[in-house]
Amino acid sequence: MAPVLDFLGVVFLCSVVAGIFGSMLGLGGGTIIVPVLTLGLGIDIHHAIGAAIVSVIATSSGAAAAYLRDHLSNVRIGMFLEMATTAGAVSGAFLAGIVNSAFLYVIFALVLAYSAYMMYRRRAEEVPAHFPMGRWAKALHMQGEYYDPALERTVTYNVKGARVALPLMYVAGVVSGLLGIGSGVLKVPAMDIAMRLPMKVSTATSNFMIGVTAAASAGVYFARGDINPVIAGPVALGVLCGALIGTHWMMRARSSSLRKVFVIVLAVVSLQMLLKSVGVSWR
Amino acid sequence: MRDADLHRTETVLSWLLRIGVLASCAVIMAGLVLLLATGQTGYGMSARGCLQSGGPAAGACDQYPTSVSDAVIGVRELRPFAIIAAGLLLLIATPILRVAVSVLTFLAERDYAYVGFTAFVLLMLCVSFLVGKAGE
Repeated sequence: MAPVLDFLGVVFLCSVVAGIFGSMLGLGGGTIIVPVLTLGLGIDIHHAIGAAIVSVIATSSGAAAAYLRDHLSNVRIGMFLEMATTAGAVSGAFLAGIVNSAFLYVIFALVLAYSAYMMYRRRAEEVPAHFPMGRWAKALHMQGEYYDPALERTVTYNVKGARVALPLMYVAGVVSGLLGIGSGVLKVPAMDIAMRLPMKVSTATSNFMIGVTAAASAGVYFARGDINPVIAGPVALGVLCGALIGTHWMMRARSSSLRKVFVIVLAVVSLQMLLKSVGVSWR
Repeated sequence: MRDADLHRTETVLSWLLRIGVLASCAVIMAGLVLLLATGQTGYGMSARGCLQSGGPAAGACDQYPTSVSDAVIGVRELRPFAIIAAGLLLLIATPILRVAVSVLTFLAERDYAYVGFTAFVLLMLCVSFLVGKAGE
């Protein structure tokens, strides 16, 4: 049974890394899982994408369980924005095949590069400077507070830009439906730049949200046979273990460090999209 | 809505996610143990044969349940791949259940704006399942 155990072990360990990374940054971990499975283990792309969907759901549920307990995920903001992301995902499914994807990749790459620049400008920020509540955010009671172990104090924060974030999240949903790219990479900058949430609240709320959109499409992948038990099983277990570690580390990390790592991720994915638009793909 | 109400919602959802995650973990693990112990996938293939030539490349290992009913039947017959698939289905169901329960918690707190928001999300999830079915 040694080769079987070896295979399961390798997939499990890679998934632990993806789970740590994803739960700390509010991403699904597909950016790690897909290349490891296809390039590293020679697995068919459809099965790799099926496993990535499972990875997103596992990261989301595993991380949100901890972040909800510690009041880092903002439930109201998450629920409010989920209206836009799920509606966007449904529209994306209808638009697939109509829109030129090379063009979309370029647009997406530019949006990510812009987000990277905007987040880089505030790289040293631990907690946003005080500002008055936005009108929508106030009416919908979106403000919140959490205890930050890294700063050793309770952080209370205001929220604005809820009205602007809604169309942004809709676009994020459409794009992730069309291109099959993790939507966390768009959700976190939208919350950070438009709503001015503290970095930890943005990533924890993104984690809370990404599972719902992924679960909606998972049914289709399961029926199509893309979710292979021998791959997705160890991926789910590994990612959940990783999320356990990642959530622990994230709460103790400095927001400025998380922000810097996120900027690097944005830059890498942006470059990847630009290459894809001209037909170069490394997965 | 008072802060105490919000904290209660957070606690309820946190526990729901924890139970869903632990249940799916336990089922997936049981399936993997059975796979290793019997050396069979339960679908006419040995586990080793399934992973031959560097992993399940296209076509090498494609016999497993692809519907809820197939998974349930397979679990009753203790087929390892069906048990793992059932665990994965539990994992997939967890966020959807989370949305459904949120509708109820916001309703209990008489926070009607958010009852509307979460109900809309649930509706979109139903639509996406229908769209997915139509696309088969």
